[in-house]
Amino acid sequence: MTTFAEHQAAPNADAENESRTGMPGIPTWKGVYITVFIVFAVFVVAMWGFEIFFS
Amino acid sequence: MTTLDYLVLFGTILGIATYGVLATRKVGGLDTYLKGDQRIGWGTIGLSVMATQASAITFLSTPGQGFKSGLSFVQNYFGLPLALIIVAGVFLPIYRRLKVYTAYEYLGKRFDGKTRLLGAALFLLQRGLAAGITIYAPAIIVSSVLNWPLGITVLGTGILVVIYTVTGGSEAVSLTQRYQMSVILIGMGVAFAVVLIKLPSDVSAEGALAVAGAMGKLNAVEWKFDINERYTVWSGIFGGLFLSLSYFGTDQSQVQRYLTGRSLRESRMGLMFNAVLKIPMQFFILLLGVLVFVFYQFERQPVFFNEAVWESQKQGAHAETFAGIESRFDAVEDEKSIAIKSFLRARESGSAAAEETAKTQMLTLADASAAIRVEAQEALVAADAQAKASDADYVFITFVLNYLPQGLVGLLVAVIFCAALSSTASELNALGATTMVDFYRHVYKKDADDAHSLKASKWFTGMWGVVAIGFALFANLLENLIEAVNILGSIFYGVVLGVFLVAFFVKWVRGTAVFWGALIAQALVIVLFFQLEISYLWFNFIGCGLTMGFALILQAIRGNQPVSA
Repeated sequence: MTTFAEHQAAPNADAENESRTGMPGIPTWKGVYITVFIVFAVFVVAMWGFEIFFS
Repeated sequence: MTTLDYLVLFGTILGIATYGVLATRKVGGLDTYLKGDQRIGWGTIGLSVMATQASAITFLSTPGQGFKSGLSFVQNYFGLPLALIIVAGVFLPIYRRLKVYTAYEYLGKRFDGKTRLLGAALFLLQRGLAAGITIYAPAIIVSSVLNWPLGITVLGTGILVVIYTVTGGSEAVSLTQRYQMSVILIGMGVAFAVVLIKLPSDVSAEGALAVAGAMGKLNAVEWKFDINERYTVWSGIFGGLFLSLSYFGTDQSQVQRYLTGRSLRESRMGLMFNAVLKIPMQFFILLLGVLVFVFYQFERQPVFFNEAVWESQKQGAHAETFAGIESRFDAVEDEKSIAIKSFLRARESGSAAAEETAKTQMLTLADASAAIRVEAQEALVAADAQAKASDADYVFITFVLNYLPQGLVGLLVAVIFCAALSSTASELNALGATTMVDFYRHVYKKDADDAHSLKASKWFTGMWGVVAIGFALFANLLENLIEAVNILGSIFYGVVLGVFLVAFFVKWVRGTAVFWGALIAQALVIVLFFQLEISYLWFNFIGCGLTMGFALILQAIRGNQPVSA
């Protein structure tokens, strides 16, 4: 079994190639995460508005 | 249920299970069995992660929760998107890079053997018991309302899930979950449409929501910061973040699902699928419960939804008391229906004063109705100390059985069993993998080759299946133990997460410090659990913070010791 240090030092093509590739239209994962967070914020505001509208 | 319903029910659950067995009958090796050869696409991963989290009780209890308490429970999931972003960005690349089979294997590589065993043992303790409850909880409700023998229901569910999980491993779990989750989503969509159609012809969807809003059932967002309030935006975001981070990042039943991805991108997309869709899904399931509540404002509703229990008391020694409660409840409900119609007419007339008057009358009667319900629950407990006062889990199934057309009843009961099978399959798969990888091959048989390990994995998965079925068969004798299992989950998760966060983010802390830090933190969390009366979500945050704090302090005291590789 290899050690943690050996694993860390090993080349990691998987992560290197793909960490920069997001979704169609959003080229980076950072962009994807920000988009997901914005979608969440929109949901919260929408649910709050829904509650106020029908209260 | 009619013959058509039984055909739909058994056709659906047996068809999916058979497909799972046939599609994965040629398991190549250990990698295929534990990680599905890492060739699963993001859509299947997304549905698989969702199906693992959503147990049958989710689809029985959540509409009931919407019926009783409105939408506030949705806030419980507010920390989930942020947690999934952290898991996708930090946890997942490391797991894939280290090519681990289990999350706890990573702790062994990062720290040492004892920390790995601690993480794995906490997981086995929680999930081993929870797997039994995942089978038992829906079985007790379905067998009660359909008059099925409880033991046969438990055995049927348990044996079916054990067969396809043991034979096909992780790939069978993911493939069956894709179809089970599809059935669940279609079934819940159908139920949503039916409840809207079944509303009285003079009550529009907008009118129904106005009634729900006036009765305080659309309370989705509570901004007030109150640590004693169970569901607020803040307990959801902070407590929910730590709970979700622990569950999705360190619980093997979830980790194993996204490790099956054909690439890092596919696994990440599967997690983002959940980050976006989980909150709307929970919102609509709760809203379904709210609409069932509105529906029952115009239809005769039982004073206690667990009708088998209620009817048995009505035939018993206190028959007069129960009949009296029921007749008073029916009278108030009739008056309330009229008041609600008046409220809707006043609302349409545009007169604010008339609307306010009608609303006040409607709410007064709603309070009277709620008071009689409480009285009914107290009478049940007084007559039988073992009786459960809550009937929320029975609301949705009662609606389904009484108001859905033939065929759709079978579909909705299939939804409940699909959810039970899918979450149990993930649990058994993860329990088998952890027992084999973190205990058997790590401690007992270090030189085991892949063929031997594959065989051992199947045996361990089957063994956990037998444990889960056994626990489910005897769970009715151990009601308090069920509660204890739920408590165990809420107080252990934070500590496990603390260990993983130290592993990922505090590189100078070593195994011994985090091991003892975790043990001390766990003891303190248990003490605090009995001392503090706060929402259970906060214990995830407290356990995590204490573990990290103690690990840092102990490492600072020990100094920079050499690493024992």
